Amino acid sequence: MTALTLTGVTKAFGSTPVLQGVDLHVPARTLTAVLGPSGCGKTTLLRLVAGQGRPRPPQHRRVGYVPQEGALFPHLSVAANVGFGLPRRARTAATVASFLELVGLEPALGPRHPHELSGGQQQRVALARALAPRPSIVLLDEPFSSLDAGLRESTRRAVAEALTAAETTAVLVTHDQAEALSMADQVAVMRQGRLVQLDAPETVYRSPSDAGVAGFVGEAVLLPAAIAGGYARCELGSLAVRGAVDGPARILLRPEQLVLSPDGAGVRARVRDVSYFGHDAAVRLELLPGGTEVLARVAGHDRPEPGSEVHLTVAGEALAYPATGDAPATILRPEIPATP
Amino acid sequence: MVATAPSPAPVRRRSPRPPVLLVVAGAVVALLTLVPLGFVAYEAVQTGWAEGSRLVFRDRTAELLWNTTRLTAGCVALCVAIGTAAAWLVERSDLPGRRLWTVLLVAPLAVPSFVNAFGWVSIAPRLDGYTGALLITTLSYFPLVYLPATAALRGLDPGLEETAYALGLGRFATFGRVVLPQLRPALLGGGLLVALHLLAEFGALALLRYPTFTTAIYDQYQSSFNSAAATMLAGVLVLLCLGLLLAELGLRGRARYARLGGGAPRAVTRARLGRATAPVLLGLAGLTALALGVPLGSLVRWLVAGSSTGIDTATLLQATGTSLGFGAVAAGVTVLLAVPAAWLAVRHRGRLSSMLERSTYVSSALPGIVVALALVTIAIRAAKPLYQTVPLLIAGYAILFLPRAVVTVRAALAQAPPVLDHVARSLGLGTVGTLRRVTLPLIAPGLGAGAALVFLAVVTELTATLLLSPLGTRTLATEFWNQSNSLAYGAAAPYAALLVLLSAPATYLLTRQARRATG
Repeated sequence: MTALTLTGVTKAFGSTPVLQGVDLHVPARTLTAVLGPSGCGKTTLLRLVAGQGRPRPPQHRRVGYVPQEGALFPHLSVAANVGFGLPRRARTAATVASFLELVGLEPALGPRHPHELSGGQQQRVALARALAPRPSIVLLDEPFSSLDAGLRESTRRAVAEALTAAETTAVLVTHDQAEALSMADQVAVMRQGRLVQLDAPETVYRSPSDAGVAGFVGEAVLLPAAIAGGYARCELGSLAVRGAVDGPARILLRPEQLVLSPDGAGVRARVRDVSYFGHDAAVRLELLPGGTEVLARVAGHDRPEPGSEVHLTVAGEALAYPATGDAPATILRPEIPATP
Repeated sequence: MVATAPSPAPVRRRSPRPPVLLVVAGAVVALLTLVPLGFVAYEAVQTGWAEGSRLVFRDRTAELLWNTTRLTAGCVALCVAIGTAAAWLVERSDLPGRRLWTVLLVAPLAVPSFVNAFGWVSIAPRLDGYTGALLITTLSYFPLVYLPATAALRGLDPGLEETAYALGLGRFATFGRVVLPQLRPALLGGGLLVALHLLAEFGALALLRYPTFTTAIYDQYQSSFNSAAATMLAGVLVLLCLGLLLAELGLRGRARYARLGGGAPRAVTRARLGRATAPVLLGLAGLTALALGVPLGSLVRWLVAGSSTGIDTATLLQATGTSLGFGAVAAGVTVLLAVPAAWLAVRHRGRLSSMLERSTYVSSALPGIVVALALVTIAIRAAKPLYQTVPLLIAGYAILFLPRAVVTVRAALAQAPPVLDHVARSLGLGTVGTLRRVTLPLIAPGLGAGAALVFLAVVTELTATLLLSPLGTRTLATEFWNQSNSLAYGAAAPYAALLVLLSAPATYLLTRQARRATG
């Protein structure tokens, strides 16, 4: 199995730069998610890897490709789709069945035609088809974006399991941060044609390289602070920080780090409103007496009443960024763009 | 930074540069389709203003223009009235036997207009001039309005009409203020199609002795081979066609509004005809009797009469064979030419593909007589060995029917998106393998349908066949023409009957296509 290394990839359409000096290393047998908003160049990057930019002789192309919506050949049965890339002799019922099982599908689906399958099944067949010729690397281009929420989660899991079982190196392009964080071994965050961070999912979430990345991979609270000796003084009190240089800074907290209690220690805050999701709830709070707005996530059964007064403490460390100018407190939320 | 960031959509949709071979093929097709128009323009310039205006500004031209205009205006008005009323009755009223009527109201398209004229003239010889021409062209062409009108009505949400009723409007007010405005693009489009057909109509009008530009061009050409006069008349005719084309182009943008949504999920509440049922049924039956009954009845009558004197079976078989052969070759050639045009249009949108699209679009509006005249004159002057040959005839058919083939091939290619090619290539296939295992199987049905349409159109084509077919060549259309022109109605009838039989499947295919396009 093969690793994939790209160094200094640059690409422009006319005078419009689309990729600018992208360095990407994908270790063998891992799944890397390329995450970015639409138009950040991630699909172009994928196409370059797939060799669609400039064609290569087919025998050198050991790259499997799973496009959006699956793109199964509509004139062929499921079995013929799966066996499509195999030499004629290798297209046996047993081989096809083994790849259908690999992606968690019944081999009995073989004689069906693509239009008789659900969206999730089509995606799995598309993956089986890509895996069948045993490619050294598989590229997945937003393969789940056309599925509805219930199907998306189960299909993601089946795909991740199949990729692990096949011991394939994989690159997944997505604009969905939950997908990138839950599926990938490492996440490559792209913005405006540049690779801005390449790290394990937890690192990307806990230590985003800048506020933009932080907001893109999850909700965040940004507060102005002054750093001294490993501690940040801000409206939430004195907090332990990482990555700090003494002086003025902005600190980043994830909403689940804000802990609410009815009384006791911590800063006083008033509950402005609560968005209840069942398993958890997002609570917008107003710090007293200043009125600065912050966001907390609490377990569903622990949600406070709107209008009530609570006490706020912070769990874990805050992350500090050097302050540029006079930045006010902000709440960042990932905006999930419409499917491009 | 944000302002200069690339917007995603254009980057994704950017088409790859087409291969050189495809570009060359596309350019050849574009040039071929532009031959007739280029010929007319070249001739006009060559003739010069003085001679040209002497030939154009004559009483004769004024008379032809008046004839053409009043026939077009009258026929379009009647077709729109009949087509709209029939469409509303079938789609929105509780008319008994609606399924039967949908078939009967489209069926007149299967009777070529010159066969329709033959049917009428052969039993009512005094039917000619404006009245006859108006009657017969209307009976032949009203389905061209009826079809888009039904499609538009079917796509119209009945909720709009229910809302109008709820707001207190009556049946007629609802139709006038809600339905009709929604139908306007479909009706205008259908009316323009009728007008284009009328400008190109030759056979029926010649049989009815109603002189218009087409018949005059034909006479001029037959009597004297006076190409300057014929070409100048053709020039005026082409200008009329282009005018209509511009009108259609202006309509296209708006036409979309009539096609909201894929179809109405709600059931239609049909208007009760009540006491009007009997007169309405009588009216539709009368229309069908005139449009189908008379021509088919007269055909049967002449078949019976003709068989008593004996049918020349050998010639009939020979003509049928020739027609089918021409049809098959022309279908193959035309579809072959349509593939690069459609491929460029679907896969490589750009300057060349839009030019190609426009040139086939323009040539689709040119009457057969203009195309034929252009090819004949060019052959006589510049390519004598081609004159009176089958290849020239096939070229004429290809120019005339390329647009139909392009439409079907395009639709088929749209079913084979490029992502399937990418997948096939990622699975190790080369260009040839991808074509053989993915693209061709996917577009084969479309190629077949396109070929069938062209085949059937060629077999029943009259005008270009008369001018272009080699001396002594007998096709169904030319044999029919010679017999009916020498008033041998009994001898013409078997040819007419075969032409109707061959038109029927084309009508079915075109109807289905129209439903799919608008429905």
